[in-house]
Amino acid sequence: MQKTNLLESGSIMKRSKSKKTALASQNVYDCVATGHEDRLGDMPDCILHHILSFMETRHAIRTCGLSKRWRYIWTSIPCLYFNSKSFTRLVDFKKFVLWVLSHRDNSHVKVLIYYRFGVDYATDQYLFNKVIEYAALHGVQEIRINLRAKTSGCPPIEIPLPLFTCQSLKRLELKDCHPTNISSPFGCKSLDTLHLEHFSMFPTAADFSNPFASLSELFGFTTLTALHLNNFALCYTGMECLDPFAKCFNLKILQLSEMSFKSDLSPKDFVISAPKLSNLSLICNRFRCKIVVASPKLLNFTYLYSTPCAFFEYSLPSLDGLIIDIHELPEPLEKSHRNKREETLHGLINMLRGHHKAEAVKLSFCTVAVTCGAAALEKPECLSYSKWKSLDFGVGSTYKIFINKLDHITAYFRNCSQHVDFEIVNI
Amino acid sequence: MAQEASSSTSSKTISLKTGDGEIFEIEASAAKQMKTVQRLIDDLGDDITIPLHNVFSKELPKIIEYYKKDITGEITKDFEAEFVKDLNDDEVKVLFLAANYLDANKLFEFLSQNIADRLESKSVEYVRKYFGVENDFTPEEESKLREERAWSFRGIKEDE
Repeated sequence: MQKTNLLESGSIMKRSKSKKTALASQNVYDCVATGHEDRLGDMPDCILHHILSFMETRHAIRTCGLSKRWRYIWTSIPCLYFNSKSFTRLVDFKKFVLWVLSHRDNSHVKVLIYYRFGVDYATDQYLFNKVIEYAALHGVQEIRINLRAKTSGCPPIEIPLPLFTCQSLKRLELKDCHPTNISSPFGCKSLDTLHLEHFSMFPTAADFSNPFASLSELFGFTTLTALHLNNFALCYTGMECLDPFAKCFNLKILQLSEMSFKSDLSPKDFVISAPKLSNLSLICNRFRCKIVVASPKLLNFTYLYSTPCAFFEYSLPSLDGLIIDIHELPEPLEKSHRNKREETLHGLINMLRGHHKAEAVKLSFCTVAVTCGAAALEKPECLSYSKWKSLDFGVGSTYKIFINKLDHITAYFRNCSQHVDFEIVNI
Repeated sequence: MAQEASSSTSSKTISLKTGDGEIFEIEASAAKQMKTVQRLIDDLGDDITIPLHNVFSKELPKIIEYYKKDITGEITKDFEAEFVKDLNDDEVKVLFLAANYLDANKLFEFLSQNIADRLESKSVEYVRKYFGVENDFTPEEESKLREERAWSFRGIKEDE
């Protein structure tokens, strides 16, 4: 019978071959008629697991009532997704989680998602420990946690040690955690991707000459290939410039959003110089210091700002097809911002002046106004050795553009290139 | 294994023939995303119409539409939401099974999530029908199971 054939096809996830043989034995017209009636339930467990692993655990468990075959399928779903939102009382959530952990079989957990919502902001430390411990014991690779804790006024939370000592953990996302154990004896040794949102740096343990130092120790900055930091209020009391990612030897993707330095505790220069960095995104940060982009292998730079307080400088030895994408959130044009915008553009032009080896540069602006202060348009002689062949210059059409200034800019760039056939592509 | 003779493979199209005899064209780069198709191309050559016994003219165009967007890197959350917006649960199931047969990973992942979302809030009876599962519990077994589950699921807001 077809059903048995397919069930016995073993653990191959995509078993197109066995399907072909099963159908080959049928009449070709049967194929046409029954093609659409392939029943999902005939799929091997791993495919069903796959679908169930996208659901919250409490939903996936309900499949135990489908039929005898389905009674225990849920026990080996490689994903645990706990969300306290749907429980009226946190004590019920706790009971549920503990029940699941004790009734699950011993198979791997690939992904753990633990979202604790609720009016009560206190996280149950015991429960949290149990869940992390279980996941770490079962070879978890990805953990996503949102404790919805507050910066202050909450009982202390500790991130359980097994999370840091877990060898299999590759991807970690922590939102709204504010843990108290900044001085853990161990740090993660094999993280690939780290996403921290709204994570407070405790002043007692913080090293003010590098506000990122404790993060670096806890999560192992040197192994990361992707890092996302969102909504941090940093303090910096050092005298030098701050270069927190210099030792991130494997970092390829960096995204900083909604970051700021507290009051006057900001560096003069905030340098971003990860040696292998290829994608950099700076989104809605409130930096009042100069940002120096000094990552030699940068390919993509996205800058989305809401208050243009930053001034850029680029220190990139060579540019090969760098794409710069500068966006501004739609906001009414304010006089006080105009200066800052000039500075941003100035910073951009400084960068281009330094990178005469590039042959093609793509700039896209989507700003309210493209202005060009007089100071920004330096004499083009400095660029006599520029090899630019083309400049792909896109200007967003949904916003108001000062056309006359745009001509200044294009003329400037045209002067900068040696090539007769220098092309400016306007979008 | 047949070698691809043409050096301009980026603009080459492959012909696919569905189980109900219709022929559709896709770009070679899109075909690469469907491992089953690519294996058939490797075995049979890229000049022959590739037969897909288990995929039909109703769903193949939709799959082609998805991969057309994929090769230009334009797949966004919005596109994916639009893509499934007007499909009913059974249509998604058919697409899912086809994506599995074609070994089209990206679409398979996306549809897995979509099916999970659709089934999350449905009753056990509905899910049974959807997966084509026969209820082989006796009424006693079923009520016992329900009791067990009720205890462990106490305090959950929604009813199933």
